[in-house]
Amino acid sequence: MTKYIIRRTLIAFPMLLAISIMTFAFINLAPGDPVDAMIDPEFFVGGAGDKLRARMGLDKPIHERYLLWLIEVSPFSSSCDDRDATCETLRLDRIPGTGSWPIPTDIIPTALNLKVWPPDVNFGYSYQFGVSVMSMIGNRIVPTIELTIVSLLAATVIGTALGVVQALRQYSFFDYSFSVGALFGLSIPTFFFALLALYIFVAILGWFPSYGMRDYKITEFDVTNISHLLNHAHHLTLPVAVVMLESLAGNMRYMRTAMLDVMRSDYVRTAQAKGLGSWLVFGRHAFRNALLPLVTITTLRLPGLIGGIIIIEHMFAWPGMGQLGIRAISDRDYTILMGLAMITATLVLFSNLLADVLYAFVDPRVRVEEQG
Amino acid sequence: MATAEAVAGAIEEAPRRTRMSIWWRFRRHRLALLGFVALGILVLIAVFAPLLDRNSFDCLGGLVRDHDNGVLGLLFPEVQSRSCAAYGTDIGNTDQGPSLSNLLGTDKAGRDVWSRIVFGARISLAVGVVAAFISSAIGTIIGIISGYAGRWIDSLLMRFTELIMTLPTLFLLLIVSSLFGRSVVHLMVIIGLLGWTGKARLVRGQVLSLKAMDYVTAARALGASAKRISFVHIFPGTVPYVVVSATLTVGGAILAEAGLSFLGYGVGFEVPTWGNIMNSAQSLHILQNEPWLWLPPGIAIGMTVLSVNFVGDGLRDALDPRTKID
Repeated sequence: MTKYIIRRTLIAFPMLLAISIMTFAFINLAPGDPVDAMIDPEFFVGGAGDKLRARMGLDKPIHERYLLWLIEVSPFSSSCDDRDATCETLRLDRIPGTGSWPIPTDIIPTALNLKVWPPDVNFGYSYQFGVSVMSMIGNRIVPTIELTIVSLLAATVIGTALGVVQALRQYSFFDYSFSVGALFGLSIPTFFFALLALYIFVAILGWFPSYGMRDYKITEFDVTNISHLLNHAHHLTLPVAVVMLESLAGNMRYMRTAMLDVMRSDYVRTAQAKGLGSWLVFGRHAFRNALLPLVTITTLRLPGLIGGIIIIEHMFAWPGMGQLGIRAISDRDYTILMGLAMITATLVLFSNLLADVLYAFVDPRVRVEEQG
Repeated sequence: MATAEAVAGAIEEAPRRTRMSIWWRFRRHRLALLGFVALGILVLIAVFAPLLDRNSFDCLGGLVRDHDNGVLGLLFPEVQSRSCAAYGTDIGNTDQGPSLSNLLGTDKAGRDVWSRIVFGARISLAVGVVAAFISSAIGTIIGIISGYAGRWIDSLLMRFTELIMTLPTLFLLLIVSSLFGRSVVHLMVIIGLLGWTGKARLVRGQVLSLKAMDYVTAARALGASAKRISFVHIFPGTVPYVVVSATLTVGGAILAEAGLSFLGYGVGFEVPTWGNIMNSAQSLHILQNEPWLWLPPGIAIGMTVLSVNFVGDGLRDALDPRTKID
């Protein structure tokens, strides 16, 4: 098992490298660059735009820029020093000669005041804001992960429960209506669910807030303060409910089929023949075995779920990585996009590995095969 | 003798009977039939969109845009026409609620929402079908090569597939669609190029099990080339699975286009797509006060994808003889 984990971890590095090359190429081949996004080209006279490009290192060929980025990211390089020539090309402190610089004031304070996490990773500096990418992403990782984990958990628990009940009451009205309901869940786009939720629960009923993570009056969030936590949960409910719907429907469909399959198998019939109570048969024998592949399915669903989260963060103004990403795409902020892509890819790869390890723990057959 | 003739007759008749039974089994799936009929109606709406829109006002000369009309327009030039109500601007008639002249109201440029939805059906269907076709073709080819060649080719292709699967699709779509620009054709190619991974793995799995079959061994013993075996003997066995998966991909592609357009990164704003119509509902004011701008297109997307999924489910049950149909 240890050997397996080590091998998988080692494979992750070339995969991350390949992902970084692909993403870098995609982003940098896109028409328009940070300079275009920054200032109206009509204001640039006498090659000022090209001067700015040269200062940002954008005049260099793409492979050279990629190598510079890689050196910057590499954990083996020393952290960026202002006097270092390499850093100079990536860093944008101040642009001489351009008086006004469209910095949205709502982003800068949060980015500057927050601690950088994790401490030793450096993705360079944002082209638009001139601050470290890690400091901009750092405080946005936790909200996104929170949204992901809570919705995954809710989707798994509720979806499993509903699917099992469906299987136990096969062909009943309950089974039929939830099967159709699951298809609805898979067919209706997440953003339409979000619009419906906003319309019904925010605009008409006024039960939930429409944006943000907490009330604007709470400036310092205190985890031990119950009213702060409740306020946060209140803000969390609607985004989670919308994000989880698609996975919930998928889990429900999977669980129904898996339970029906397992219930037809010989060992369940044996258990029934032995005269075990139905709770023991279905709870112990059938349910536990039907549950196994759910681990793998959940990880396969993760990239799709992240897609839903990007939209939901944007719509509910949830200050996570997705919201930052959408903004960075229209800003053509290459470094932020690269940072986001790398962090997301790492998280997904890590959860894949975690799922495989978990699977080996819950399913003894995998371990036997490894030894053989 | 009589039995031998009967056997020969049965063998001759087998393909026809298989086709019959697939249709029979599909028909028994009531929801699938319902989805099939709904999709048929939608295709008719898309084809005859110019007859269904509400050209209730005179177009101001230069305001009719000459933009993409979807693949249907490319395929059938005779139905290729521009709709004044869907593309043009009517400044005197903006943000109107549903009325007799504008069944589903108008948007901020005075364009008729009903007409835009009708024309949007063309683009949604075109994006769904073309993207599903592209991704199925790529997925099948990679799956067959990977499964049949085995060894390092297999592991290389599968690592590559996993690589693409690791990346969140929407994030990639957002980046790539800003790269290729905002046209319908580009969008369907991009969605198709990013959606083949699941199919490649599915086909590979099928190829692996078909490869071990006796008739493939027999073909190899007769000296058939690898190319012939994989495309003449193995490929047909994977078709049912690809068809089911492709059907479901049509729905996925429609959802992807709608999501991108909704966020403002899909097709250009003036083109009527269902996602584009809903785009303005991002503001809470419009969400609350002009529900005709987002409710009807949202229902249209949901119903279309639901029909596609019903058909996909029905096809899966019909093509897989193991599932029981009661």
